[in-house]
Amino acid sequence: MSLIEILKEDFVQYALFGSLLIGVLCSILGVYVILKRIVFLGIAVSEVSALGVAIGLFMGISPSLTSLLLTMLAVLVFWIPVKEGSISKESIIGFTYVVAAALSVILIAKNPLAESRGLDLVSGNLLYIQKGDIVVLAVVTVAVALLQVFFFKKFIFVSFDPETANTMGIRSSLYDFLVYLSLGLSVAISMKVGGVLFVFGFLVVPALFGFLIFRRIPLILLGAVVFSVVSSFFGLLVSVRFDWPTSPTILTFAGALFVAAVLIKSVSGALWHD
Amino acid sequence: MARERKETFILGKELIRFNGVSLGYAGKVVLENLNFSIDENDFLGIIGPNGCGKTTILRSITGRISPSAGSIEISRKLRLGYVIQRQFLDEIFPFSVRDVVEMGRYDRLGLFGRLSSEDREVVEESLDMVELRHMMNVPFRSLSGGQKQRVLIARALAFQPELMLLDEPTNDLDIAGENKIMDLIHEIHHKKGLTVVIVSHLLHVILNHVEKLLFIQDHRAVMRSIDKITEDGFISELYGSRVKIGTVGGKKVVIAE
Ligand SMILES: Nc1ncnc2c1ncn2[C@@H]1O[C@H](COP(=O)(O)OP(=O)(O)OP(=O)(O)O)[C@@H](O)[C@H]1O
Ligand SMILES: [Mg+2]
Repeated sequence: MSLIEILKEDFVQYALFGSLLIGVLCSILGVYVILKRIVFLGIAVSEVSALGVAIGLFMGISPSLTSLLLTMLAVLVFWIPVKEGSISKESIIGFTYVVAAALSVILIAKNPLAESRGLDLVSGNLLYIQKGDIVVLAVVTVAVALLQVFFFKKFIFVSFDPETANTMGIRSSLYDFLVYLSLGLSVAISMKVGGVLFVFGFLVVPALFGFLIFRRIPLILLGAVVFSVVSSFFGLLVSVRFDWPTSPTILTFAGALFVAAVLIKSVSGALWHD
Repeated sequence: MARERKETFILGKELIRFNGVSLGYAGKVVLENLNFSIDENDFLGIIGPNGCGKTTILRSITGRISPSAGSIEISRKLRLGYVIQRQFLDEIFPFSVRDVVEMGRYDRLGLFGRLSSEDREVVEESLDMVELRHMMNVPFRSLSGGQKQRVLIARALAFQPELMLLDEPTNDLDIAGENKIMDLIHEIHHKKGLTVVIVSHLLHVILNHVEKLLFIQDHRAVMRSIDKITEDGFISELYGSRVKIGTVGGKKVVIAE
């Protein structure tokens, strides 16, 4: 098959839209995840979201709905600042991750429906994405992007120094909540389509690329988004062409691209200095 | 008794009043029965050993924590310029100096987060005030401790506050750096006429600048005006009989035998 032929297939176009939207969403929030040093929270939330899908399927109700509800609940709990002296937030997040992962494996194993459909919460099923999924993804992407356009500076300020922001007339907890809300929504919506690995990978790798190349936060955001678009596009083509599992192929492609960027940067840096 | 931080139309020349206030975290009492007020045009130093609750007092003024007993009255719409303890900030954020100072204007951002030309002017004036205008495009995290401190002061100035709260602004600085920061704060108080509250754990650093001192010791606080601290063995009582305050060349010095 030639590239053009691949791209003419309906399911490829859907998968492409899906992965582009997930990429954009997760790479924007990934920059916040890294700045706020909550990478571990990102993977725990993805896993909770997977558990939500598993519960929905097991109970025979909409997995998107259960996933959304459970994810938002988790995000809300993680957003609330814990009082010092009790158990640390990090350990609660770790606990949540383990329990969510274990439970979802059990629920999927004991669900004949999921098994017959070959459902895979870890690597997702990007190629089975439905039109409805794309619409929901698009709506969430637009909402998250609009929040960024309007409140980007305040989001960054309250992430950096919530105490001063609050003193200087900015409702820290409100803006911080909006960031967590965006994160929860994005992860929940993306998870059902892309799988845990894809969502978590796209929270981390594109943002890392942004931080590697750029020095200013708006450019880092832009760099992360462009990186995610490029890796989705080419990763998907490779996956269809060679019939490799989609999400893992896209992620591997992204990983390779990032390593190449690191190498190029260090080589050119070394040349520059000599 | 009321346990709250309330905004009122009080208080004449008082900006903030603590009435029998206790402060703490999650059941742990840090400070008890605080009674003092901060008046317009005060230059107040809060002094006490590490961990005694100096930052906690500032947090109760900004509203981050509420009193577990008593009440804090605060003059309505008082604009607080907060200069946070430098060590609390995370260097992962790749800000330029200008980015940080601009945060002082974020409460009046326009649509899409735009700064007005007035905002930009105030930012540049604030950078002038701390003598860092020439460095405004330099990465914040690459600055020295003293320069970072001045950027944080500029950020608070850009907010155009009536009351400046500074938390340990001279921590980790050498003597020249300490002096530079204290001179700057002195100037902010005297030339700009701002009310200033400065926290420090070193008496000698702020002794010759502030006009009042709030001493914290063993969960309690005592307020003294600066010209009265040498009277009636007050200091010796507080720090033990071996600590005295003397004068050298017209300046007060702390003597520890
Ligand atoms: N968020 C918190 N949760 C629980 N306890 C806290 C918290 N912040 C401070 N404390 C405790 O309250 C006490 C007072 O802390 P605070 O930070 O106000 O002291 P400080 O006088 O500012 O100290 P330093 O000179 O080190 O800055 C300390 O014992 C500290 O351990
Ligand atoms: Mg402190």
